[in-house]
Amino acid sequence: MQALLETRDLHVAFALEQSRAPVVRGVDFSIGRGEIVGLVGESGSGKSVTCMAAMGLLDEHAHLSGEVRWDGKPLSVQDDVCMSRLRGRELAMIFQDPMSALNPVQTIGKQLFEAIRLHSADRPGRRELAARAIALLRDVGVPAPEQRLKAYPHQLSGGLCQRVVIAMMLAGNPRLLIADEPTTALDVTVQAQIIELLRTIRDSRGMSIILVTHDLGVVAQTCDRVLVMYCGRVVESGPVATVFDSPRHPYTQGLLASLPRLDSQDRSLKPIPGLVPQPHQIGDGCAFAPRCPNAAGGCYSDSPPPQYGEQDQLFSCFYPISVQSSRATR
Amino acid sequence: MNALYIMQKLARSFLTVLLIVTTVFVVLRLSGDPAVYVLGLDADAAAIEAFRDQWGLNRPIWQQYLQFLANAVQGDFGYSYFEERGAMEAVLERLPKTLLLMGVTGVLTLLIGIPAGIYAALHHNSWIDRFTMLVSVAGFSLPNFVLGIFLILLFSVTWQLLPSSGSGTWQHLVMPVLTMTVAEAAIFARFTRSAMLEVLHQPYMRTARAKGLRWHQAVRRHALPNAAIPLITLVGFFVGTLVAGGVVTESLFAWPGLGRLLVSSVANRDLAVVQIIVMLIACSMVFTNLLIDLMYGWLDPRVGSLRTGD
Repeated sequence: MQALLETRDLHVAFALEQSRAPVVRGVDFSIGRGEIVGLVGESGSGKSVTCMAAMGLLDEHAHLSGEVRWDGKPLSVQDDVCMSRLRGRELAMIFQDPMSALNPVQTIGKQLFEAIRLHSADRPGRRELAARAIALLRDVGVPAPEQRLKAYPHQLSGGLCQRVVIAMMLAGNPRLLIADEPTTALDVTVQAQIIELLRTIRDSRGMSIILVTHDLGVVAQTCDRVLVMYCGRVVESGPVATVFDSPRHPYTQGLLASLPRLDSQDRSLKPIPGLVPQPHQIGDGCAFAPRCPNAAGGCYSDSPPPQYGEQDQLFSCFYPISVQSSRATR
Repeated sequence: MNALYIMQKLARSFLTVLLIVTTVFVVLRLSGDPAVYVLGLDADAAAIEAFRDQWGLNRPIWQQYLQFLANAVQGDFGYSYFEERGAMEAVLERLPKTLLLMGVTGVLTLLIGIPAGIYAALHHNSWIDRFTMLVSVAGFSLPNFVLGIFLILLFSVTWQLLPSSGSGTWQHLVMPVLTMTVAEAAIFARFTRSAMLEVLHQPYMRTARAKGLRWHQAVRRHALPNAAIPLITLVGFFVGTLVAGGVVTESLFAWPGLGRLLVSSVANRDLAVVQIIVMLIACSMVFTNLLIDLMYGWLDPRVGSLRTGD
């Protein structure tokens, strides 16, 4: 099956005063049709920047190289004209803080109409616009949608705002939705509802979703595949069940081990020691080496190439955890 | 935004004007004797006494004040000792000249300052942004009397292109307008730029583009209208600085407007004229700010709903 979105050796660096900070350092991934892919990793691992690069939403201070392919064809992500034709109708994106993601001085209706008008070939009249907006709001589970059109964002809760943003992004019926930590700013109960909504949308529209999140639990419940990023690289990827069951990269194992577990006798948290290095501190070797329990001499000088494990599991490590010991510790 | 809110605002505005007029009334009468100014220091005591008696200046100040208010309510704003005619007549004669100067300056300021600020913000950190900001710092750091004198030196004395004083032709208008516009446009450019930069970095701009708007569409539909809201406040101050700048500029270029009349009337203790001009200025300021308050509630729904307790 051909991938919908693919990146090949994607690099993004931000221009600083004198130097450049490499934030994404050679990312390869592909997103298939109708699949939900989780993108996890600590803050600063380049998850959001990778997504913004694919949307063509990085500002002019970002230096891009490598390739982004959409539907098999290369995409010129830095061309605003070209990308604006795709945004909203091929790929769309929702963001972390739904309250500030909507224009505070325009009504929900006006902002929805704008999106609908952008993506309709005919010129829908006011009544038609309102009908379509109400249908979209109903699709994303907004109660009493007729009354919401005249409301301003500050009159809605965070969860409702996120639903409105999702409705706006669905106006062009895109094939891929990138959700950049869509629930981080929301209450826990609302989080679950939004995640459930994303899954429903995937099922009803056959849409692909990239779910950027810190929450490994959400990934386990929601996603088909998972990409683990560390310092601008994908260090491990594969089907969620495989990766979570037997992580091969020590970083993935560290992430999983740092989750609190209710079923274990030992209730203490096991954080990964050390801090994520700053972009300019990363040398030629594996970026995780300074924090890695398995690291040896070669790890500090050479970058480990990706290698296949079982069932499409892919990891970049010179001293991976063996399948047996990985399963045993979970 | 309800009737009660508007009534409260109106009442407060009226009180503000009354307070200003009262203060000016008291200060002017305590700070010098108009009889001496009008008749001269060497006038004989009987003449001065007769003058005081004629204009009620020998009565207690509270009686004078009540008389002034009673007359004002009936549309009588007093007599100009100096011009020897109704004070209102003297003021109204000068008003169009000042309105012309303020109007041209105002329009030019907005036409130059706002686009310059928008352009600088859209090209943030480029050489043109830095250049615009450099010019704007220079523009508002330069006092307008210094700039005015410099212009006279250049255009009137050295090149003899423009008249240095008076009014009547468009040539007379050039230097006074330029003097006032430079500083005002500089402030507007700076303020517009920062308002735009603030808005351009808001997450809703990213959302607007994520749903498919081109960059310039997102700027036009979401950034410009939102950045205009804080600018409205600046327009309120602008009316004040126009009046203040007008006083200096009109004096400098002998422009026969209200500003110049105000300066000469204060010097001559022409009480009624000063009183009217101050009242006009106060009214225009208060009225502009009232208008801005109401517009704010209309432009920014968050403000409107706070006030009505929605």
